[in-house]
Amino acid sequence: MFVLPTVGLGVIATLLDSSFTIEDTDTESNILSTTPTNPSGEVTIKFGTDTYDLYIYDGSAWYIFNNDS
Amino acid sequence: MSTIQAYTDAARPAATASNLGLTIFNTTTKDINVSDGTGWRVYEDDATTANTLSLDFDGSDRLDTTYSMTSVQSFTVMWWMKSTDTSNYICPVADQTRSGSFKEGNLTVLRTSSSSGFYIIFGGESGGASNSKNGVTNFNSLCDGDWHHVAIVFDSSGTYTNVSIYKDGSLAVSQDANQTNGWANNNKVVGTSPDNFTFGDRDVSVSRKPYTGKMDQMAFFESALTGTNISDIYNSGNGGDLLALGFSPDAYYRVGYYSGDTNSDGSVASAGNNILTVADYSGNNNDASQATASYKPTYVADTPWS
Repeated sequence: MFVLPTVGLGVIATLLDSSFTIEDTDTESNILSTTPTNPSGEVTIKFGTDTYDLYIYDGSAWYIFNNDS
Repeated sequence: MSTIQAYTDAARPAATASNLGLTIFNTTTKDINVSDGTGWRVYEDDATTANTLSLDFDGSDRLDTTYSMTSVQSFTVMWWMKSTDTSNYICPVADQTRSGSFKEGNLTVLRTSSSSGFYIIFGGESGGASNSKNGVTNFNSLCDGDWHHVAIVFDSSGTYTNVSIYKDGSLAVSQDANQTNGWANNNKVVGTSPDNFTFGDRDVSVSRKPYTGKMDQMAFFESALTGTNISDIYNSGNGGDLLALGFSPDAYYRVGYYSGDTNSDGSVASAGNNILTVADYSGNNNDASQATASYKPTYVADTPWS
């Protein structure tokens, strides 16, 4: 018999709420050629498809976090 | 668009069990911080496109670009400079060469004595035919040990070329270059048979006028920028990347920019190293370099803005 776990939905909801996927992926050169407009209090994050590095734009420059794997 | 929250170091919330896994960007340290439930784990950035390096010219160095103006009537050249040299003849930028036939007239900027202002030459190809004038404005005010932005605009839309010099975003002098104003002749800026531009000197072998100091964010436009343009670029001393500001220079040397500028060993540009390539980020591929080892400028961690 299938029993719906009483806390399962809550846990799932929490997991869904906290999941994070970088939606913007592109090559490094394409990423660095853009100057995104950041929402107030936030910064843009992108993933490099050719370098596998992370890129964060703080409103004036890109900061690169290397893939170490 | 994917974003994460950003906090200064001081405004960053405490890491607690309730925010375990919270990922933020620390705008003070430029690092990624992740809450482990009791403290912040720090992931340092490895590189940046921020303006963190300029070029140091030691009084012997020069940066040879591969950019030469096309046949244009209007032109703008700009750069940031930091120098304390008020005693020597110096040439921050020129497309002159004196190797072989003497050509100085395409565009040369000089201080020809310790007390003179800008000496600007353009509009001709031989020494006798070029358009030149000394003392256009006070050059030494740029050599006080602070960073200054210089822009020289040649607007040839009128009868005579109008020469405007901007210091730190403000117009210092503007005058028509005609003989009644003391210029040598009425020739306009024309890039016929031009040489490649050089920063920091005008010639390798003959009558050098080497610059001592730092330079950053050098750019050429084959058009006459407006005073508003220059003011926007100076940005109250805060500067800014020309491409990010929406400008389209015909050659643009950001200097020390991540992804493109290199040390003499080919690695990514870093402070204390001589140049290999100083890339042109205009998209026109007019990269700059210096073939002679003893003439190579050095990357230095000193910039007018970051």
